[in-house]
Amino acid sequence: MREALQQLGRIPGVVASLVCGPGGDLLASDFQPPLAELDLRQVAALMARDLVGLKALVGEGGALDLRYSRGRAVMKPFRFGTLFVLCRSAINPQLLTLSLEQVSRKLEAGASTVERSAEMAAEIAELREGLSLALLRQIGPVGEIIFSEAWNRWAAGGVPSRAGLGELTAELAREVDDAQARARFVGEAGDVIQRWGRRAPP
Amino acid sequence: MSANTDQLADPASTQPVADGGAAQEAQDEGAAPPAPAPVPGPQQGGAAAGLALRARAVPGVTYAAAVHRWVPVSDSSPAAQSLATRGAFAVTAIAAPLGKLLQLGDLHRTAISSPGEQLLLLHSSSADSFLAVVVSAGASLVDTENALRRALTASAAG
Repeated sequence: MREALQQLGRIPGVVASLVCGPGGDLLASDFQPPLAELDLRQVAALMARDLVGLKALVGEGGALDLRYSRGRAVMKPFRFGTLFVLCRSAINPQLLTLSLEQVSRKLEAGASTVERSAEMAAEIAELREGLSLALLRQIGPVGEIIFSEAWNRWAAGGVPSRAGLGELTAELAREVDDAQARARFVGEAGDVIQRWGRRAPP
Repeated sequence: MSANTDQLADPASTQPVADGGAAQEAQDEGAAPPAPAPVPGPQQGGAAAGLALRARAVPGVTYAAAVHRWVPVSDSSPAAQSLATRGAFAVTAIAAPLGKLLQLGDLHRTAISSPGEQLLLLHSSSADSFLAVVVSAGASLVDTENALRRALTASAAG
């Protein structure tokens, strides 16, 4: 994100840029003295206050460009926040517009990756909890240690997949001595994996 | 707070930043210095309508309305009212507090670009009065603004 802002900072006339989240949190900034981070935090708070109105005003992919007697400020909301650029009056408007488009595309792509990673982490945590509970229900609290060791070995193998989960289930099933309890575990684990598998890679 | 972006261009400068900034920008964008849009008051309805008509004659402009203290004065159509409302929001909620926070001086121009529409507000000496111009989606905002300023300056001089 900061790299994208540094790209903007190389345009002659750009004084500062920032990206803020929907709650006014300063996600990244690039600025020159005498501007201070405190100033930019105030700008971020101001934009967050009226983010819904700003988005309604400019629409998806739009921008608000304000020219004052002492400079210019451009705001471009995107899906996960707002890009703000402060410029001197003397700036090439075409270059600024093109660069803003490029940078906002990069920010969208970066934010999408972060969002997907967070979703995946939540899904895997849900999977872990489901499988762990399935084992604990059959062999009691000792299953927690057994499960953690097996899970960690499985997770070290890379991106989780349905095929890998079959191996994990088989390994855990071997820890259940009673045949009926083992069958119950395999059945419950299968349900958990099936639910997760609808959203996960094959 | 000390954004004062034009002062940053010349740290040694002790002059008021507004002068250098506006003049320099006009050169960069190939336009005359951005004089305030001459928006007539409500008592001069005919003049306001004339101003909007002159703006509508500029290539790229699909509609224009003169707004005085947030109220459309060139015509009372829903389109003019909508422009006045959107302008009021842009100025009061965003442009004015931002300009004050960063000490950016007077608001000269607001440009709203969205995928289906482009809108220019050329502000008068006070930000609540402006010429609101709808620019066709395919037209350049910079070129249209320059053409508008030329047309309005010429008619004011004439």
